[in-house]
Amino acid sequence: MRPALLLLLGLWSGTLAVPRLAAAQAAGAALTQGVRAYDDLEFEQAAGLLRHALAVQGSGALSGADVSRALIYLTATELLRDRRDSARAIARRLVLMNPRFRPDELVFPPQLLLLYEVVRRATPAVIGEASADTAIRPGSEAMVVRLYASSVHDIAATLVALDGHVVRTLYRGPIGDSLVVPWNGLDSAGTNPPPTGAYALTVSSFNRDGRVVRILRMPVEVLPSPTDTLPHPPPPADSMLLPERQPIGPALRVLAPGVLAGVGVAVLPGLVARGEQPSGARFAVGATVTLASIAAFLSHRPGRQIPANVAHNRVIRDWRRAVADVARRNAEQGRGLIGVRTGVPVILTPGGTGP
Amino acid sequence: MTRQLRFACAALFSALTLTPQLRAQSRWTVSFGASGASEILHSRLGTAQARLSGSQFGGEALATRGRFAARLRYGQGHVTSDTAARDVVQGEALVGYKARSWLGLWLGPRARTFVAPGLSDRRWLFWSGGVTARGAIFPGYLDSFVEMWQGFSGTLNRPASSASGRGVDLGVEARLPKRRWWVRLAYHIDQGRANDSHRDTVEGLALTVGRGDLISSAALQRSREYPPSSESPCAEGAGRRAQ
Repeated sequence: MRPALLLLLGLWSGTLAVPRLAAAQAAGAALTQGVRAYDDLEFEQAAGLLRHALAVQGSGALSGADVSRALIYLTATELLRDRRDSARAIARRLVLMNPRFRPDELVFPPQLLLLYEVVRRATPAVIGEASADTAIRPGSEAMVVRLYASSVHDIAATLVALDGHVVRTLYRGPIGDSLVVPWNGLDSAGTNPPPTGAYALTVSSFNRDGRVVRILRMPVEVLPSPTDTLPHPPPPADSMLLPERQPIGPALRVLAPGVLAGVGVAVLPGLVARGEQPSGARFAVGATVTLASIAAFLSHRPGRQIPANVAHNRVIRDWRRAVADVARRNAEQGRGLIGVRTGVPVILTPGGTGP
Repeated sequence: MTRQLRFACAALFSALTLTPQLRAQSRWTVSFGASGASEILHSRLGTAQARLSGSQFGGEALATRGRFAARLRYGQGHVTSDTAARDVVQGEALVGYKARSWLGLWLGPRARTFVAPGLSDRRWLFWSGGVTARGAIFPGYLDSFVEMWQGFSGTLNRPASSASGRGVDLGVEARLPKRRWWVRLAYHIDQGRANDSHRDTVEGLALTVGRGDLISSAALQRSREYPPSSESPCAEGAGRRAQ
């Protein structure tokens, strides 16, 4: 019974795992076979295999570099199959996906290189890169966004709020191969950083007619100044301060009964036995009680230092001082800083505007 | 029985029957003690007065359960002067309730009889209520205490008349460490009055040695550290003898 269960479990897990693995291998293998078919001039087969490789989605999909490779091979295949429109559309897709891509001149024929160059020039697009998470001091420091263009064209880079209003125009002008766009962390007035929150860096690409044909949109989040860059010292096992001197309360608590009893011995007999003169024997008891309570009071040694507690408290005070020092240094370091976090950029094509 | 006495008895009965602590009571604890005292009697009848002194020996028993206690004391002795001599017999039977860890309440009869040769006995009888306050000097080892009582009603049999009385005990009580023996040194004084013309005042210094679960500062400590439902006998006074 047990081996049968194990076998069933193995088959079940294999059933779950194999298709995913197979898909990943299939996309890569299809790309490899497609490239081989292209090299063998089997264009029909190459096109099918390359399209199949590109169609795989999810975890088994091709990597970004492989997608670019598959697309350029597919462009070349379609071109060599004399399907220029299809080749042009695929090349355009490649430009939009990766504006920095350039086909290898040693691998692809000149007509492919020419076609891709024509498409690239006719497809203005920009991709950007920035630090995923950084902190700057507004006004004196800047975060930079590197823009890479598919071709020379005009762009406008702006930081916009989610409601659409422009926070700061960062650049407006031509871009060649690449461009570094800095942002000093201030708003359009140049005086204050924008409030913390979500923003977007948009880079609009213009065609020769001055129309926006592409928009790069990169999420930007402005964060409060990062704090606690220095770690706090570890707390001691017990962070409660202890009394350093013997408290007087317990001593008074043992003194009070004796003193009260002593006073009672002197006063109460006269109240109870009116008209009589109580004997002096009562003072023997009163003195005994009072002396015993004084001895008890002194045995508590009120006000005397407790060395163990003094040492314990010294450790805690040192720790608290260190924590305060770290907090102060963190505050100094964090003063005036803002955090900037960027997300993954996407390229948008406004409807009906671009080639 | 006077109205005050009936009220006091009813209050104590209610406390005994209604208090929820009854359910938490654990067990009875008993303590016994023997005492010896040096006594002085100041007796006034009209303008005549006498001072007699002597000694007295007696015993006591204290039973406690939770907050409640019962105490019996008995003693007899002999006091003399240059011209007179009397035997003294006295006793008390009280029930008590520990209202606080340091405060106890007592209720019950106290009686004292003077026996003189050739004369009929003279007996004081009081229905009394009292309070005992107690404080730890060396917790667990040494306590001080004060007990005061007042008679609600009282009688004197010869000459027959109503009487009033009150008294006080003060002293210290020590326990031997890790043993159940205890020692009490106390001063007591009480006075009975009848028609303002006759009063007997008895004072004395008493030493009592006992064994058992007597109230102590250790019990007081327990009752401070834990809720009062824990086993802690009712506070009690020492040394004095009822009239």
